[in-house]
Parts: sequence; C-alpha cells; structure tokens
Amino acid sequence: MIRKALLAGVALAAAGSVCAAPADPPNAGLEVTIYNQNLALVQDVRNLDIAQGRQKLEFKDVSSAIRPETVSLAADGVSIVEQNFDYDLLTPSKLMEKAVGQDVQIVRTNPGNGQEVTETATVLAANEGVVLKIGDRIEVLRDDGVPTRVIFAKVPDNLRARPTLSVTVDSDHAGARPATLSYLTTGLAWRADYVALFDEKAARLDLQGWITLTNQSGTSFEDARTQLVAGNVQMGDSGDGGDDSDQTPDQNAVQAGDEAHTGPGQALGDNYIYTLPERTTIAQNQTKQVSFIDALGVSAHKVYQFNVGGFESAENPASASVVVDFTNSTAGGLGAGLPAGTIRVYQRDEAGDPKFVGENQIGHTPQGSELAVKIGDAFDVTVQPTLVSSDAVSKHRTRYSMSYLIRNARGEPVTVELRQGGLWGRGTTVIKESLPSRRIDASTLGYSVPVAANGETTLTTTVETGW
Amino acid sequence: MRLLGLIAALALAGPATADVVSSGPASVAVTIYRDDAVPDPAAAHWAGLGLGMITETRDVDLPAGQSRLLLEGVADGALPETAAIEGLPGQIREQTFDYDLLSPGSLIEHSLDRPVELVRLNPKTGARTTEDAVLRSGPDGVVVDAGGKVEALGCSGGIEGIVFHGVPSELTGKTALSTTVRVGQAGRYRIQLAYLAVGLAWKAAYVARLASSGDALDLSGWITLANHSDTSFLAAPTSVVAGRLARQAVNRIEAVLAQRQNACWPMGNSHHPKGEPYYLAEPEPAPPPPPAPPPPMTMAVPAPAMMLSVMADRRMKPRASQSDLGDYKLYSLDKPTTVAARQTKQVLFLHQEAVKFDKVYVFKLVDWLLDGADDAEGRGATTPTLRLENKPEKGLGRALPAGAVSIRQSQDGADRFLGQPDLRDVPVGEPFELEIGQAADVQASWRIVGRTRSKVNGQALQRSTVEATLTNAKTTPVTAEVRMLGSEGSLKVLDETSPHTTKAGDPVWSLTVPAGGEASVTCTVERGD
Repeated sequence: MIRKALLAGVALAAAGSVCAAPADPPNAGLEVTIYNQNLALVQDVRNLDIAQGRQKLEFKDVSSAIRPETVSLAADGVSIVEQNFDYDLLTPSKLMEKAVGQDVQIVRTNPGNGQEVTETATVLAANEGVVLKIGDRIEVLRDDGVPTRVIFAKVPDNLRARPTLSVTVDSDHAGARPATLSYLTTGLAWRADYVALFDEKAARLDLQGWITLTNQSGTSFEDARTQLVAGNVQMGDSGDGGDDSDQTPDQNAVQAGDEAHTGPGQALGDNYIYTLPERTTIAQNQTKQVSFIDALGVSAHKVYQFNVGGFESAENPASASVVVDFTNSTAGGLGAGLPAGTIRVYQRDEAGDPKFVGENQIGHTPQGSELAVKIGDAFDVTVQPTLVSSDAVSKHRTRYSMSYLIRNARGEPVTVELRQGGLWGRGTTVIKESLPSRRIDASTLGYSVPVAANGETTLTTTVETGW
Repeated sequence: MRLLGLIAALALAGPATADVVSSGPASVAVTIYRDDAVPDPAAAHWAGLGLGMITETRDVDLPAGQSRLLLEGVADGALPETAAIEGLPGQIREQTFDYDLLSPGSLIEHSLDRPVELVRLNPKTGARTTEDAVLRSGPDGVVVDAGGKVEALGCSGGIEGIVFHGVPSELTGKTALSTTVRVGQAGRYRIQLAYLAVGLAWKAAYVARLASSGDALDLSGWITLANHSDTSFLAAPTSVVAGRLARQAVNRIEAVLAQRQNACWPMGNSHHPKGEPYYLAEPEPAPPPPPAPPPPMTMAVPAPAMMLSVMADRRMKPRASQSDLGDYKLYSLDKPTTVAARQTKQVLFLHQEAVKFDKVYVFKLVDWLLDGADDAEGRGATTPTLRLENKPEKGLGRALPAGAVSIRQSQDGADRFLGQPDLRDVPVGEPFELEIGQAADVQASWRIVGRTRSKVNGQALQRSTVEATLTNAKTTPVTAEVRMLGSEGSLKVLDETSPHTTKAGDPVWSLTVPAGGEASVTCTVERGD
C-alpha cells in the first residue's frame, strides 16, 4: 500500500517539473571522488532523452552544497547554452507574492455555525499584509480574524522546494543518450581510522584500517562508486576547482584485479587514490566506515622514550613516553600506503579484554616507512634529571654535569631511550658518561638506559658545549 | 535522483535485505579514563569531554543470508568511528552511523513530493475532513498541493494538520549504528560491541589522617567517577584507568537537524498593521520544539542533577582491585555497579594505615635575594612538608594515581583540615612530598653577613656569606631545612657551618631546631654576578 502511494507521488512530482530525467539504465551511475579537505567531485552519468534543438534540462537533488561554477554537462551532440542554479525556493510568502494580480479561492469558516463559504478573490498586494479584491469589496486577508484558507491554482514554475540546477542545451539530434554531469561539492569528507590491537609480549599488532566517510552535503548519494584521494589538493579561496574535474583518474587503471580490499593505493599525480571495492550509498547525516586494511601479526615493539629539552633539574620524576614502533612493510606484515588518520591502540587487560590505551595521528605513510606511535605515559617508568653543575669554561662555552635517575617499578627489566637536547651543534664534546651516547642530531644526544625490574639506574654525563 | 533512489530502494526491499533491530545491550561493561581537561569530575560543566570505553554484549536473531543489523541504544556520547563489532561469522566490511534523526522538520523534509493526508477540523460542528495532497515545500513554511489546489499550511487560522503515511526509512528515532551482515545459518548470535564515548571521567582523591604520634598517617584513596551523559549503564562491571593516554581532539559530528518553522505570508491587518497574527479564538500553539532527549528512565532514585553515592562501609574496605593494563593501572570495581546518567559516584580503592612519614619544615631561600644590598636581610615562613616513600616497609607500596590529598588531623575530638596538596602519579618505590601551607610557629630569617666581588677569566663573580636562622615556638623540637633555590647548577658552596646535601641541583642544609629555641647555618656561596 505504501509502495502504491509512493509511486503515485512520483507521478505527481514528475508532472510538476519541466523535464524529469528518465530512469538510469543499469550501466549508468554515480561516481564520487572525495578529497581530504571537505571537497568531493561528483560524476553522475544518466541516460537522458534529449530532444532536438534548444531546451532546459533540470537536475533536482544535486548536492545542496554544490559549487555551481564547477558544473559541467557532457553528452553526445549536445552543446551548453547556459546553466543556472536556481534557489528561488517555494515558501508560503513567495507563493503569495507570485499570486499578486491573480485569482485565488478563499474559504471562510463561520465561527458561529461552522459553515464554509468559498469565494474567488484577486490578490492586490502582499506587503506587510495581504489585500484582496472580492467582487467589489476590498478586504485584508483575515482582518476579521475568521479562519480563512487561501487556495492557489498551481505552484509557480520557477519556485522549487530545493535549489535546482538547470542547464539549457542545444542538441543536434533527438534521442536517449548517456550524459555526464559533474560538479564539485563540499559537505563530503573522509579520513582514515586505524584500530591496532597491540600484543606486547608477542611483539605484534593486528591493524585494521577503516575509511570513515561523512556526508553533510544535504543529499544522499545512492549506490555510488566511491574513490578517495589522500593528500592535499591545491585550492584557491573559491571557484578554482574547474581543473580538478580533469584530474579524474582512469577508472580502469585503479580497478586492478578483483580484490576484496581496496588494496594498495594507486598514485594519482602526487596523491594516492583508494577505490572502495563495492558501490556504496552515502546517506545524508551518516557516517560510514569501510574496511580497507586488515593485517594480522604486524611485527611491532614497545619503546620507552624520555626527552630532556635542556640542561636543567626537575623537581619531581616524570613519566617516560610509551611508543609503539612498527614498519609499514610487506616483511612487517603490511605493505600498503597508509593514508593519514587517527590510530587508536588497544591492549588486553589481565582478564583478556581489549582496552583502549591511547590514540595518535599518523601522516600519509608510504610503503616501507617506519611508524612510531606515542600512546601515552608509563605509570611505572620515570626519569628525573638533575643538573649537578654547570661551569663556564669560556665566554660562550659551558661544561654541564648531569645525573639522570631512571626508575622502573615494573616486574620486568626495561630500556629507556633517553634524549638530551640543547647541544650547540659541532662544538660539543662529551667529557665523560656512564653509558655510551650516540648523536641523534646536531643538538641531541641519545642513550639507551637499561633498568632492572623494580630497580633504578643512574646515568651520569659531563658535556661541554657552546662555540 | 532521490525519487529514482526511492524506486530502487523499493525494488531492493524484497526478502534479500532484512533489517534486524537490536534495541539495547543485554549487558554492558564500562571503562573510564582520566582526562586532564576534567580536573574535577564532580564539577558540573564538562560536557563533550572525558572518555570511556563501553563494551556491550547483545544477542541478535539473524536470518540466513544478508541483513542490515541496527544497533540502537548506544551511549549518547558514542564516537562512532571507534565502534568495533565482534562475534559475527565473517568479516565486517562496512558499518554506518546514522544520525538523520526523526523530527517534525526532518519528517517534512524527507516527505517532500510524497503523498500525505490533510486533516481539517471544523471548530463549530466538529466535522473532520481529509484530503489527499502532496507535500511541495517545507519544513520552513509548508506548501501542499491537493491536485490543483495549492495551499500553505498553518496560515489560515483554522485547525489543520498533516497525517503522514509512513516514516521515511532513512530517518531514525535514535542515533543508531548499523552494519551489513551475512550469515549462512539463521539463529541467535551473541555479539560484542565496543566503542569509545565522551561524557565519562574519573579522578582519584585522597584523605590523609595524621596520627597523633606525628610520624604516621592513614591514607584512604577514593575513585570519583562521573557520568555526564544521558545514558545510564546498568549493573555494569566498571573499571577506571590510571595513567596519561595520548589523545586526539574529539571530532564529534552533529546531525544537521531540519526544524519546522511556521513561515507564512505577511499577516498584517487593519488592527495590527505590522503583521501580528490576530486570533479570534485561542491562538494556535507554537510549533513543538525539537524533541528533548528522553529523561533517564532507569535511575533507581529520582535524583537531582548531581547525586553523590558513597559506597564504603565503616571498616574502610577497598572496593576496587588493581591490575596492570599495558603501562597503566587498571582499577576494577569488585561488583557491577550502575553508573547512572548525571551521576557522580565514589568508591574506596585504597586504605593504608600507619604510613610512615618524615615531617620537615622547609625554608626556601630564592637565590636572587642574594642580589640585594650588601647588608640585605629578610624573614620568611617555612612550609611543613611530609616526606613519604611509596614502599611496603613504610606502610605503602601501592601505585598512587594523581589526585588531591585532603590532610586532616584530629584534635580534641574534632577533625581539623590542614590543607589539600596535589599528588602526581606515584609509582611504587618513589619518594614523594606533601606540602601543607605555611607554618606559623616555625619561622625563618636571613641576612647577608659578607660580600666580595671578583673577576675570573673575564667572568664577574659574586661571593656572599649568608646566615639563615630558624626559630621554633613549638613545645617539641622540629627538623628544618634551608634550601637555596634557583641556582641552575651554577652556585658553588665555598664554606659552610654544617655540610649540605643537594635536591634537584639545589644545596640544602638540614637543622634540628629545639623546642622554643633556634638554630642557624652560615654559608658562603659563589655565583655569576
């Protein structure tokens, strides 16, 4: 019954519009390419029955966040005369304004006996109030407070419920043919979300990657082939998007094989492009996640890190950072380019239930890159640096003696990667140190400090730096 | 496109894809994290902050083949991008979070170009008339078309309204998570749904009760957890995580809600020329506001906005046990508890008696005072400081999550509050200090008794001899310290009347000050001028 009613509605609606696009044949379709920065290229292929000569084609339900200046329509034998984006919306007051000078029916209900009286009236004006001419009488609508309905004969042609794109075309022949409508719109966005279940003892993590699509464009995109472009596209403040439509990649090149996954991203210029394996519907006010990576047993290990910015003492011990290191490589269990996104790390508690232990941002990560994800601070591993002495050796040179107390309250030995920054480049000499240092960069020394279970280690160093 | 999509949806809505609705969890477990942005979980205003992990168990009856599984009743602070579903055969390839909420406005918006029924009531005769029409515009001003009779709704002053034939399938009453699942065999499946949600936070708080002996205290640790969301978690195994997690800014997506506004043509008349609508009878009611979130139905007590439920008995038995979670500490409440919407709850997690401490009166002499005149002098207060070590032999040896420590002392049968210093996360084995305000009866004074200046290797040096004196008005002797602050490792002690130790690079002199007496130290220090 509902189905019948809906079809009736379709028929009514079609009768009201100037030119309704006929149903899509099975091979036609919608294609959406979503960029990282709230921008999408929509390509809508429809089979349009176009008459010969000049005519107006109307496209309802394009995205309401459309950038109309980026619209292009391409069909065989069709040239564009002009294209319009109409947002003269149908409202009660617009309806009344457009009825000025025309006849309407008014229906008054007598409050005393409930009788309805219908009269024909001419709308004289709709400024502040509505003035009507009924026969010889001039009346203000509802001046007497009596409930009065106003019945209009039709909805004016160019008033619409939603902004509508219309394109006036000139066709050299009549007949149905595929037409491609493409435009840029805002309101569609995507990002990557990763879920990593980290098993510290086994030194491995299971990584799942999700593409998260959000649609707040005002329109649903039904059954669309969806592609995602990682990386930033050069954008002006407005309206320079015309070039982007030419960047549409060769779809056949991307659709390599019949993979269940989207697989490794394909290069598109300097960006990466991912194709969702199946057509999907991106509904308005919906967040949709599509799995694109599912890698089990990626080798990974945990590192404790502590950075000391300069030569100074700390009043209290401070926690070392906990960092999970893994490599985005085939050998490590991965091997696809990873688009930028948020990685959330989970570890199992002693009862075996996975629990969230921290999240961080990763950048676009090409294959072969190393990833270091800081997940949080270690409760039980702390470092307390103390500046024991600082002596001026010359006007611009100082000798610093540092002592670092590294404590470990865990039941297993740990190694803390300690970084001492604040060096003056080349002119730095290590005078003595209780553990061997290595140079991380011009201003940083690094130490790997082993600490026994429930123990502590004191690292002492003397460094001369300056120029 | 929308219309065509509708037809397509109708064609697809055969037996191929059935909707299975899971209206709520069978059981739920809650893990609450600490958020530095929520210094006080019991405070009122931190909506959208905090973090919890919700793990739900649901039983769903799935038909064989493909179906869309709708998971309703997730917590209102849920971050959908974090949702993970386990327990279904095969892999989940796609999941969605729909927040196109059903409201009067969205119902109109999604019913555009669809048939509706217009209903009118004659106020005098009571006659009800109906008419078939198509919605042509809305929700900001509704225009209907009843086959060549176009009218604006709500503009006539009569009693009229719309009856809809159905709820458009894309609108949901509550935000819902959904996923497409495919099972080979029909039956009941038990699934686990886990996700992160904002609106939950916790923090530790301590009460330290000083014994009259003056060298020991009883330490009680409380978990204060709060649920600032509108979702109650019933009989939930609850745990909290101590430690600082790396976090990203929460990026919650809010629904774009269409609101119905009664927009009509200008309504001015000869009495109210500026367009005030004039009513003979009762004015029609204003359009209803968008529905407010339903009140929590499951609260045991009809509670005000904030409710404090203390869950400890007189014997101060901790009700939470501690274990490790990676590099954090996990405190699990002994029994499942109901974490109700808009509720703050306190649970004892630690009670240690006879914790040993050393009490020291610390006088901090800031070294720039030495830059004053050659005969500069001054007075200062000392800070009573409790020095503890987090070790079993000192009566502790338990991980101590950060929190404020309320220090109390019984005197003449009454409780006195001495101060509330903050405690950092203290792992087992570390020393820590609690500073309690300023002491009235242990005072300090200092003066410069000698000064010389010199130049070595082009460096200007200043040598000062300082005398610091501590006086004790108490009836018992006290231990006191003079600490010279801010030397940045460049201060050299050349001479002293008693040997110093160092703390964070600063020289410290320790003194015993007799009851009703004084003690002093004199030192000569050299530093860059």
